[in-house]
Amino acid sequence: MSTKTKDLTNNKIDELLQIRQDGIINYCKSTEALIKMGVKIGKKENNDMTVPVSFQPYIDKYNRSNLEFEWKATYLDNTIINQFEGDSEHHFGHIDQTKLKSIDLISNFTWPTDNEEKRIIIKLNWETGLFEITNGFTPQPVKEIIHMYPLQGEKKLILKTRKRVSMSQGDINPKYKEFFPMSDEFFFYNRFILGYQVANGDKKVIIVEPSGTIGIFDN
Amino acid sequence: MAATFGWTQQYGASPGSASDLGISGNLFNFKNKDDATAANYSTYPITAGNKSFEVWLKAKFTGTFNKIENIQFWRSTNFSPATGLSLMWGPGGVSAYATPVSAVAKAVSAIATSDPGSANVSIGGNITGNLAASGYTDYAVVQLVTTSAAAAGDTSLAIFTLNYDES
Repeated sequence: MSTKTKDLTNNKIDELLQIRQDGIINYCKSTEALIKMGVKIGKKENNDMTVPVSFQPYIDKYNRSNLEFEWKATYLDNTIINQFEGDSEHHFGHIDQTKLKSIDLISNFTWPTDNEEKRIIIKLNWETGLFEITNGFTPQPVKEIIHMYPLQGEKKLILKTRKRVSMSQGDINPKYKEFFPMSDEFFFYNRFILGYQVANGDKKVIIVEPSGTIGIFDN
Repeated sequence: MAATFGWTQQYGASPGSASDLGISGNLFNFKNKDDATAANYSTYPITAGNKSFEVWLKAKFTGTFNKIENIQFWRSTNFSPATGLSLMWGPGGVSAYATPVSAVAKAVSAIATSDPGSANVSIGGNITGNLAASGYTDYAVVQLVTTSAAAAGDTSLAIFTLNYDES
């Protein structure tokens, strides 16, 4: 083997080490970014779920249906209907909008804050048509829209969850599996939509990311 | 519990059979055969330059919900490498099942490669349709089309995403 050939071999090894290192770093960075966004990554073989750091303080008794938020409707007579009541579950169709006083989205995880209330609570005051936010992150331009200028006219409630699920076709080539056994992952991501529409079609609707960031929903 | 979602594949001679695939892992493979198992793909390989059999997928929803709507389907990640490989599908969804073939039939458009922004799979033959009780969406018919440039051996992963609104 000539010296030149040896050098080329070393260069090739270095190149492959660099590619491998870049791949590992990119894997770690992209996984961290996904988790911070609130994307849940599941592993089929053991059902382990990688959850965002902000979900670590998940409140066990509220950790159901893999939902980061659940709703609570309060009627004018102060009776309450919760999305989850013991073993049963309510949905949008169970809410009597003619009796509505307010509707809340409440996080099932705690929010890092000095406030006495540790959960994120997003209240839509049905009487004023404005939102009241406890904790979470609301960008300044969004605050102006949701805290001011209520829409006039009879309101129709908008309350839904936008769910994204991803699955794979194919698998890692068997000859590579011993080097990278991490396949069979699945990904899901929930966003929570709350607001109302008035007769002329105008809407005031927010979308809440699973990480607690609040934005305007325009879709 | 809220709505429970899972993938279902319809296969076989019309009217076909439904096979629940689940939600995760390697749910199906493209191959030169119409069946509903991710296995045996190496027994029925696609020769470079040919097409796979169509794969007729639909989303199944069960459980407690008011409405399921706004079904969006796209390919999130491509094969890597993807030389000589392209994924086609039946845009808008296909409401009537037909026996899968390995020719050009329902999968006539390149599959969406990003969030389409609005529903692109119909329910009950209507792109603005919805489910108010347990049931299925219409079909997302997908097909792998290869050229002679496709490499021999297994393809890599491709990730497909379904987005829906639940109330």
